[in-house]
Amino acid sequence: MRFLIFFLINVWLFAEVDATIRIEKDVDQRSSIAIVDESSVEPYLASKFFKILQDDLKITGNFAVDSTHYLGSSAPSGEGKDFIIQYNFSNASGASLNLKLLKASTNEVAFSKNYNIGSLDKYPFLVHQAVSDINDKIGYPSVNWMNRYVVYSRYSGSKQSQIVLADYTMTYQKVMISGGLNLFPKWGDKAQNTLYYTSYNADLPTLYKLNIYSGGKQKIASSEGMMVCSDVSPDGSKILVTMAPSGQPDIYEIDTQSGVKNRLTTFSGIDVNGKYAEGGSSIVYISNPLGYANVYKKSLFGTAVDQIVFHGRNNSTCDANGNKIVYSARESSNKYSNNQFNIYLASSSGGDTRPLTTGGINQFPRFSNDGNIVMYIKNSHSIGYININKRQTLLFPIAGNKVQSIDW
Amino acid sequence: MKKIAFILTLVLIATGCGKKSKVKPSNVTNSTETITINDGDVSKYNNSDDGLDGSSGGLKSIYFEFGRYDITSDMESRMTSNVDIAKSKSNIRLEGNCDEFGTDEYNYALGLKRANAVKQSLVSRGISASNITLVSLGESKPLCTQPTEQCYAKNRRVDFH
Repeated sequence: MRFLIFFLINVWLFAEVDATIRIEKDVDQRSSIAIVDESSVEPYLASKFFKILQDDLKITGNFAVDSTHYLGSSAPSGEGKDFIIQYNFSNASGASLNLKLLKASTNEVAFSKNYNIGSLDKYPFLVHQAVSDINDKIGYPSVNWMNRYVVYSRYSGSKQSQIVLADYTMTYQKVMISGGLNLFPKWGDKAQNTLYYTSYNADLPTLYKLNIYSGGKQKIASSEGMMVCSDVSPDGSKILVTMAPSGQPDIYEIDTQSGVKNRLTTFSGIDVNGKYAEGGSSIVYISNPLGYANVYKKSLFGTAVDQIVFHGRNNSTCDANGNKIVYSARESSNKYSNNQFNIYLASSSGGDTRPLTTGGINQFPRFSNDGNIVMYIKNSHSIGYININKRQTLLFPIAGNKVQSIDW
Repeated sequence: MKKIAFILTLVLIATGCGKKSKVKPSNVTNSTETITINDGDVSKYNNSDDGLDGSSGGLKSIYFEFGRYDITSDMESRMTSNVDIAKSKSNIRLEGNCDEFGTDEYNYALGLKRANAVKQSLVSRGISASNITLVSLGESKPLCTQPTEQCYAKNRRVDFH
């Protein structure tokens, strides 16, 4: 009888709506943490350093960060805190950081480490490494993605561009390639020792692989029309490129050892932006068989092509990580003004779609190497990060001209 | 009222069952070490540029609709004029261009499809395909940078050289 009543109540309860319940818990799993600055650098630099440290901790999603910039003489009470960070940042010789993590209740040192880097400009990397280490020490999932370089190309004039190396906050920036038109930088290996880029300074667009430390440059391929390295296989042995040897932009896979090229798409329209997905067994890419740009998937072991996005007026860029994809969708049909572009996360099969942004012009979505963070460009002049599991977001301004392409 | 109470009960049960343990400071042990982060020397490279800008040699650029790469009928007179000049040239370089509204790869592919459409039109009018080379410059070579529809239209073009 009880079962019957329970069953009838449920039928009555869910009859009117789609029976999907999502229960959001409001239980804070984060560690509360305060930051004490014992540095003696000039106030402007001290303030920037503190801000990066604070932002790094926030974007992990693992820390509830006390926003007060405590100085050495005004250390906070440990009450209500789990941890306290004490640090001393020095710019005497390059940049160095002495950092301690204290258990707030006992003042016991849980972790301490000294960090050095030869160039003061690179001090943000000290902060990122320290926060990554603290995160690991406490036992949270890795945030090593924040130690990686971001590389991007930006226009600097007509047929002029620069390729720039940066930390993820864009605080550190260094022009790496300038002069002429050099575009589409893409990291060539996990360690970020090499990158692919396209030079438009000869008769044909030419793809090079550059060792950023030795300066060694290797010509990979050239093609009439266009040449772009879109993705690199996890072991670096193969790359996906868009090229057009007969004027038709298609996706090819190139074996980086043998140089053998394998054409993967044959549609007569546009096929670009190939990304390895599902453990390298398939690619997702952008194509326009319906007259507008959209996201499609193709197995590397078959010929079937599947459309995997079914909304948006123009979805012209995507990225993939394992069984997840992110893409930018134009939400309105205006040619120019008042258009909104939002970033969406979905499975590589096309389900589980959810928006990651809700307004503005959000483009160039890129997964972090662990797939937990999505980087994107907002309104052309800011770079954003979304922690897709923790729902934390950060935005940083990008000084300078329009971003052409970006990778990390 | 019963409905609300039932939903609340479901929420409380689900929340309680899903509770996770928080990392305790007491679980974290001490360690001290020093590391030096590799400060690699990033080299700078310079390349030359020929500074091309628009069509040259009396040839006329062909313009396109937003997001399209088919040649419209109002470009026919320009194409006809270009064919007459192109017949006397041994090499023609077609540069496809776009407005600023695309994103990275797709925009370059769009510029290429425009250049290829012009190439096919030239070939159909008797120009040898082997005399024509294509390149897409995407949105990298705008002739106009004002935020107006007329200005954007000027940038959706194929230049002849």
